[in-house]
Amino acid sequence: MGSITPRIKALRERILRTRPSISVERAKYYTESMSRTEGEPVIIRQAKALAHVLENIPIEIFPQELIVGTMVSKPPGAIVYPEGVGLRIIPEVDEVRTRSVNPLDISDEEIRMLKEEVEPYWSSRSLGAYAEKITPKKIIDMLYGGAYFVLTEIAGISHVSIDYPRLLSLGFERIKQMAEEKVKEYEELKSADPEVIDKALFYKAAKIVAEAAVNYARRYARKAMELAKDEVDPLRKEELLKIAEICNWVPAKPPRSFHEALQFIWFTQVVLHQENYEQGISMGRMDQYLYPYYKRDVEAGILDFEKAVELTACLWIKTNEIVPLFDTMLTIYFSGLPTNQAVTIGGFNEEGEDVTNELTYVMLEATRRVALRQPNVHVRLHENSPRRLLEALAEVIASGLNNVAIFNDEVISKALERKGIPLRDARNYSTIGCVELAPFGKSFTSSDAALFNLAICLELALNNGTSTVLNEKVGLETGDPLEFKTIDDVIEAFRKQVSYLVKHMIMGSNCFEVANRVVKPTPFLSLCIEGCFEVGSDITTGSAKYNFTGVQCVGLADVANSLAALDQMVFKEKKVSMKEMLNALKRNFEGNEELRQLLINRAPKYGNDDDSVDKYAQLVARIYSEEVEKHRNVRNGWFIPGMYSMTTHIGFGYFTNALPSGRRLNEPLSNGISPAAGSERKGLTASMRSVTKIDHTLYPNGLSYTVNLPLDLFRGKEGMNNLISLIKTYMKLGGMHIHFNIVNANVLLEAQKCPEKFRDLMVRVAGYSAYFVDLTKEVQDEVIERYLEVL
Amino acid sequence: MVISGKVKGLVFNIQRFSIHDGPGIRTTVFFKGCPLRCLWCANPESINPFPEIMFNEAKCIKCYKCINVCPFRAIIQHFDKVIINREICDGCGECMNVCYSGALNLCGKYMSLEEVLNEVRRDIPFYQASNGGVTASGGEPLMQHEFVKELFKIAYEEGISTALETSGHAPWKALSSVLKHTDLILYDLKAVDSKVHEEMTGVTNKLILENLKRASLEAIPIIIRIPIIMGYNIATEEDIHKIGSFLSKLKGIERVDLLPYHKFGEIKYRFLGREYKVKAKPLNKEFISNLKGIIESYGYKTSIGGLS
Repeated sequence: MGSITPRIKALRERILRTRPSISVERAKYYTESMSRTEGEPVIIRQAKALAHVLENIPIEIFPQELIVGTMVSKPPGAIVYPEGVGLRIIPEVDEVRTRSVNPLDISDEEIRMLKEEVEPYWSSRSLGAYAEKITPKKIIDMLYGGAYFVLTEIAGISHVSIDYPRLLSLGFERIKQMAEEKVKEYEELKSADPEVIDKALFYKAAKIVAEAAVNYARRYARKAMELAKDEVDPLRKEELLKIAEICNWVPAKPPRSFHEALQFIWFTQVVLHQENYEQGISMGRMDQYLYPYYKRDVEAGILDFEKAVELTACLWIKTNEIVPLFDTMLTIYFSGLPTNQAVTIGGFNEEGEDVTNELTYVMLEATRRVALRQPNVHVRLHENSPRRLLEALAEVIASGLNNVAIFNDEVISKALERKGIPLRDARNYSTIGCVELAPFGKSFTSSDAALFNLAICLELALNNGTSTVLNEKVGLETGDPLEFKTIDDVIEAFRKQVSYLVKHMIMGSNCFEVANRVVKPTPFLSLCIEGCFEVGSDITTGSAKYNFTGVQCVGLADVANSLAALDQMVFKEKKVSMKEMLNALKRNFEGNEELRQLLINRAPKYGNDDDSVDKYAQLVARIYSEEVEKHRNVRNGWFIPGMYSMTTHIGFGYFTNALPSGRRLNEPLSNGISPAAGSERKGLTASMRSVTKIDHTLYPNGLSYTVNLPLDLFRGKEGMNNLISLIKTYMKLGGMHIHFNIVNANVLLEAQKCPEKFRDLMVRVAGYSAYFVDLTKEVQDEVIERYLEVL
Repeated sequence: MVISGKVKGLVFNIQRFSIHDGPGIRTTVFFKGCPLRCLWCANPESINPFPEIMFNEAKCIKCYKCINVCPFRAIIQHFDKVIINREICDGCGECMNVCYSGALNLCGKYMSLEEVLNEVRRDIPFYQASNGGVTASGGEPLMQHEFVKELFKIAYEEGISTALETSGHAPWKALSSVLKHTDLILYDLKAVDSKVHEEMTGVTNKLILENLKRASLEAIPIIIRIPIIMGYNIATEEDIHKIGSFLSKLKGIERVDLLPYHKFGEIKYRFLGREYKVKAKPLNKEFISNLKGIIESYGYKTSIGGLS
C-alpha cells in the first residue's frame, strides 16, 4: 500500500491546524436577499436568496488544492443558518470563542453583525418561530424540556443521499434549459390545469438555482485564472489552469473525466450546504456512479490507482471543512462536531450481483490515508463480497480508523422491502448521515427527524404517567404500579406510554415538516433527488419518489434490563417489593446501595446471550417499531423507526431517573442497539448473539451497533482473519450495521477514571485478553503506556 | 446427543471470544486444579482443586451480611473491614449468595458435561467462520482428564475443533486418552533443566519432557508456549538455547510462542488472601526479540505473545 503524498499531507495539516471559526457570510447574504424579496412567492425568494449567497460569499483556492470550492470563509468553520437553529448561538456568542467544548472563533464585528443585522429579521420568521405557532403547546414544552424526545426539523431537514448519477449525466445547464422549457410552456398556456401555476413557480425557482450553481463555479474558474497568472511554480500554474478549465465545464456540463466528476460533486455539495443545513447531505454510492469515469480515464492512460486515490483524498479533505454550529445544549445531544456526509461503497446492485470494483479500493485507501473525521465511509457487504474487500476493510479498521462502518445488504434490502419498496430499489439503497438507509437518489426521508427516549416511558409506566425528575404528569395514567401483579402489567403500561409519547413526537415532527414546507422550500435540493423535477413541486411537499420520516429510539438496553430485573427481583423471586423498588428509584438509590448492587449484579443483562433478558430487548424493539409504523407523515409517506442515539443517550440521561436496571439518574442511557455500558461480561461473541436476536429488519431507517475494540487485539494475519470472521458471522446472524470503535490510550485513561462505564473493555495481555477495569492501577498504567507507544 | 452426565468438571471460568488460545475465535474452558506451583502463576485461583472464595475488597459495600450467613464463622469484621479466615473457610459459597455487590465470589463450579457443552455450542457460527473451537485450559485440565476426554469426544463428533492447553504433568495414559479427540496441543514448557524446573514449579520436568516426546509422535500439531520470567525460568540466553536444542529433536512442533512476563494476575493473589512473591525484572523488547531469534535459529516459527 502506498503512503500519503506531500499534497495530501499539507492539505490535511491545514485542516487539523486551523482553529474552527464561525462563518457569517452566508447568514448575511441570505438575510439581505430574504428581506428584499418579502411579498414574492416563497420558493422564488428562496431561490433568489441562494443565488445571492452564491454570488457573494468569499471564494478561495488554497495552495496545492486540486478540488476547489469552500463552503465557509475560513475553513474549517461553521455556517450560520439563521432560518434554522443557527441563532441559538447568539445568547452564547460571546463565550463561544472560549468554551471548553468545540470552541469557535468569531470577531467582534461579526458578532455585532449577527446581533444587529441578522437576528432581528429572523426572530419572528425562522422555522422555529413558525413551528411554535402551529404546534400544540404541550409538544413544544416537551421538546424544550429535553427529556422525552428531540425534534430536529426546526433546523431544516437535509439528510439525503443525492442523485449524483442523474446530475452528472445532465449537468446544471441542461437542467436550467429543461426548467426554462417548462416555464415557456406555462407562459404559452400549453395547459390551463390549475396545478400548473404552482409548478411554474417551481420551475422558475429551478432555473434560478441551476444557473446560480453554474455561475458560482465560474467564479472559481476566474479565480483560478487569476492565481495562475501570478503563479511562479510552473507545475502549480499548470494545475491552476486545469482547475480553471474544469470549473468552467462543471457543474454546467456532464464531466469528461474522473477529476471533473469529483469537482462536479464538490460544487454541488457546496451549493447544497448553502441552501440546506449541514447534516447528513450524503454522496451516495460513489464507487458505482464514478466507476465509468475512472475506467475511461485509466483506459485512456490519464489516470491510475495512485492518482485516483490522491484526487479522492482531496475531496475527502474538503468534506472536513465544515463543522456544525451547536450551542451548549446541542453539543450535549450531538457532540463531536459531526456533519455526517456519508459515502456508500461496495455491495450488490439492483439484481443482487456484487459490484465491488477498483474504485471501492481507491476510496478505502483514500480513507485510510486521509484519516480525518469526515466523510463517513460506509461499506456495504453481502454474502458474496470479495475476500479482497474484507481484507482491505479489516486493514483499515485495524489501523485504528473510526469513521468506517459496515452495512449488511441482505438485511437492509429486506428491511426496505418490508416497507413496500420494490426489490430493485431496496437493493440499490445508500446510506445517509451516520447509519440511515434509503433507496439511493430517490428518497427524501428526513432520516434524522427525531430521537425518542424509550427509557423514560418505563419511568412513566412506573409512576402512573409522571416524570419524577421534572415532576410533571406528561404521560398517560396507566394505573397504580403497586397494583401490578406480573411483569406483563408493567409491559402493558410501558407499551401505552410509548404509544402515547410516540404520538406526541410524530405530531411534533409533522408540524415541523409543515413549517419547512411553508417557510423553507429548497429548490436546489429538489433538483438533486429523483422525482421532484418531473412532478414539478418542491421536495418538501412530498415530490420525491420515497418520502419516509425516520425517528429513532434511545435506551433499548436500559428498558430490557429493567424489565428483566423487575421480573426476577420483584415478581418471581420477590427479593424486593414493588414499593421498596419505586422508593429506591425515586431517591436514585440513595441509602439503598445494596439494592442497586443486587440489580446490577444479580439481574440478567442484555448483551450476554441470556434469553431471560434478551427476550425483553426483542419485545421492546418490536413495541417501538410497531408504534412508529402506525403513523403517516405530511409528505404522503410513513414514519419509519431507527435505533441510534448520536449522543442523545447522554442528554436524555440527565432527565431519566434511576431505573430498575441499577442505572442511576444522570448516567447515560444505552446507545443504539448496543448493550448498556459496562454490562457485557461474556465477550464480543455473546454480545453479537444478543444483539442479533432482535429482528433488525424492524428498523428500516437504520440502527447502530458500536463495538469497542482495543487497538492491538487483531494484530497480524491471524488477527485480521478473526476480525473478518467476526464481521461475517455477525452479518450471517442478521446484523444490519456494525461500527468498530478502536480504543486508544485516551479511552483507556477515561476507563481508569470511570471504570463502571467500561466494564466490557478488553485489552490484550501477553497471550490473552483481560477486562481493563479488572487490572490494578499499576498494571493499567503499564497497558496505557504500551498504547501510547503504539501511537 | 445424550450424555450420561455423571462426571462433573470443576470449572472456574468459561471464556467466550478467546482469540489467543489456539486458532480462530474460541471458547476456553478453564479447569480448576493444578499439580504445578509456578512462582509466577498468573491464575492463582486455578491452582487448588476445590472451590474457594475470592474477595475483592474494593467492591465491598460493607453490609456485613456475609458474616452472619457463614456456617463456619470464617468471616469476621475487623474495624470496618471484612476479613476471611481461610483456614476455616470451606468454600461453601453461602456468603457469595448474599453479597450483592459481587465482592465475594466463589471461584470454581462443578458443572455437568451438558452444562459446559451448552455454553461451548453457543459460538459455533463463530468457530465455523474462523476455524476456531473449544480450548481446555486451566489449571491443568488433565487433572480432570475423564471429563475433558468426554467433552472433546462430543465436541469432535459435533464438528467443533478442540485444543488442549497443558503443562504436560500428567500420566501418559491421561494425556493420550484426551489426545484421541484433540486437534491441537498448546504445550507449556517452562525449563529443560530439571533442577530449575523443580525450583520454579515444585515438580521435576521428567514427566513433562517424556510426555512431550510421546505426544510429538501423535500427528497432532503442537504449539510450544514458553513463559519468559527473567531471573526465574530464564536467566540467560543459554536457557533458551537449551529449550531450542531440546525441541529440535522433536517432530510435529508447529510454532513456539514466547509469553513475556506480566503482572496481570497480581490482583487475584490479593483476592485469595495470598502473597505475590515474584519480583522479576521487566523485559525489554530487544531481549525478547533476541530470544525469538534463538528459537528461530532452531528452525521454528516463533511468536511473541502468541499471535502469528
